[in-house]
Amino acid sequence: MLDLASLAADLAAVRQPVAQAHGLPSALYTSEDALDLERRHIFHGGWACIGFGKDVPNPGDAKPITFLGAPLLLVRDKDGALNVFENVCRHRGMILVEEARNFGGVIRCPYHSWCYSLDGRLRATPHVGGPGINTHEAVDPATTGLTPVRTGIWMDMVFVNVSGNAAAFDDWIAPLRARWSDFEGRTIHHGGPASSFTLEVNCNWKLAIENYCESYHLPWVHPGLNSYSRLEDHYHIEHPGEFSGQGTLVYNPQLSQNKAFPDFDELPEKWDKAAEYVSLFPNVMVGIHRDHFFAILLEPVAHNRTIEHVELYYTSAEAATGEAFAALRASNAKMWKEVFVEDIFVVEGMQKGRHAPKFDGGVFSSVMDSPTHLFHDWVAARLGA
Amino acid sequence: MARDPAQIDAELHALHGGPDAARLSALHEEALPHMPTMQEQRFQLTHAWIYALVHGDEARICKLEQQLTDLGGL
Ligand code: FES
Ligand SMILES: [Fe+2]
Repeated sequence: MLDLASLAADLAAVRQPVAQAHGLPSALYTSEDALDLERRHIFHGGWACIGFGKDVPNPGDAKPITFLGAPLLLVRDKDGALNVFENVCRHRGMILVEEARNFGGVIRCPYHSWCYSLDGRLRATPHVGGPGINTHEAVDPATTGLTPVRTGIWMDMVFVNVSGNAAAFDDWIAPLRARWSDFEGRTIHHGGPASSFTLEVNCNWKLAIENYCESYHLPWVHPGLNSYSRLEDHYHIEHPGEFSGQGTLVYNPQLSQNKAFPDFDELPEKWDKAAEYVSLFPNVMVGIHRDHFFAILLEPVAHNRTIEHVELYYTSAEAATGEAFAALRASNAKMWKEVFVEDIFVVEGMQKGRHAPKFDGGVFSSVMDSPTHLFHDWVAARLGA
Repeated sequence: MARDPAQIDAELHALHGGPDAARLSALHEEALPHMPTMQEQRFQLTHAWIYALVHGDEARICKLEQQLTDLGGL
């Protein structure tokens, strides 16, 4: 059980300046109740990533997603617009869609066959007024469509605000959009099945975020990365209240001797050697480079178990799906997978460490850990501190 | 040649719960003339209509909705 009185005091300690602050209390990593609290205040109460546009590429595609207990449905309608609805029939609450599939026509509830258009409108209510009478004055289709969930899409990532009362999506995403304005309006192309993988890790979701925020661990955990990217070549990225991470000044992919992915056209020169890696709170970790983009969606399965969904995107259809780039795409996916796998022992080790009875959340290096503290501070604020 | 209602019924049962909405819609329509009362016809038409909606066949949907309207089902 979470002790709310001591939690409040612990969260206040997190909100101190980085040099004095403690990390988030261990109860937020080791207790099932913590995830319930975070579901309300963080995942459902704000914007969070639940999937990708590429999951429903064609009109009529639908994919059910259970997001921390909430059954949601990602649907691409006939005009190509992507919507998210609650995956539940407005009649008696039957789950509508059990597995990803394409709908040529309406979505029919398997219980009493009420039918919904792909844009969520209630299209048919068979026998609602008695046998063969398919309308009834008390059931108004205009007010009985699928319940829409607030949705925003950026860089193919699908974000939802389940509670419906977070700030407008455009305002929420604006700071990162502005930071990466050089990439604004570009089409990114998913690299297909070989550019998509998942990692199951036995840790709390927050540990994945905080590890990703910082470059401090690179020389110790990723010696391969560090061979072309020294600690000195990294800088912090800090935007209180939304994201933090790190950038490199020496991005120089060496996947092949004689072949490289095409870059986005006409990028400013700084991106020749720069790349940035950002944790967008709460649950997506993204990486931008002149020649590719990736996103890692964290799916919190339990307080001590997280699934990382990794998706890689390229700058053109040819780079993303062309046979000529298949080997390079495979090398890139393999390289990133190795890097992300290298992090697993750390995040799982911190999960185990969080059971030490006297561990107080830890201290921060005000020089190296400020992006991590910024995330802890954000969590504490969202939980009401 | 018109099929025996039992044959239609057997095929409906065989396809029940399956993905072939177009065929289900057609079968319910085929059953229509065998229905002795207006109420039973309207019932069959309703099912033909629902499966046409599932299939997404706009022309059939339109036609069946007109028939349903004529019989007071919509
Ligand atoms: S619960 Fe969906 S039609 Fe009755
Ligand atoms: Fe790492």
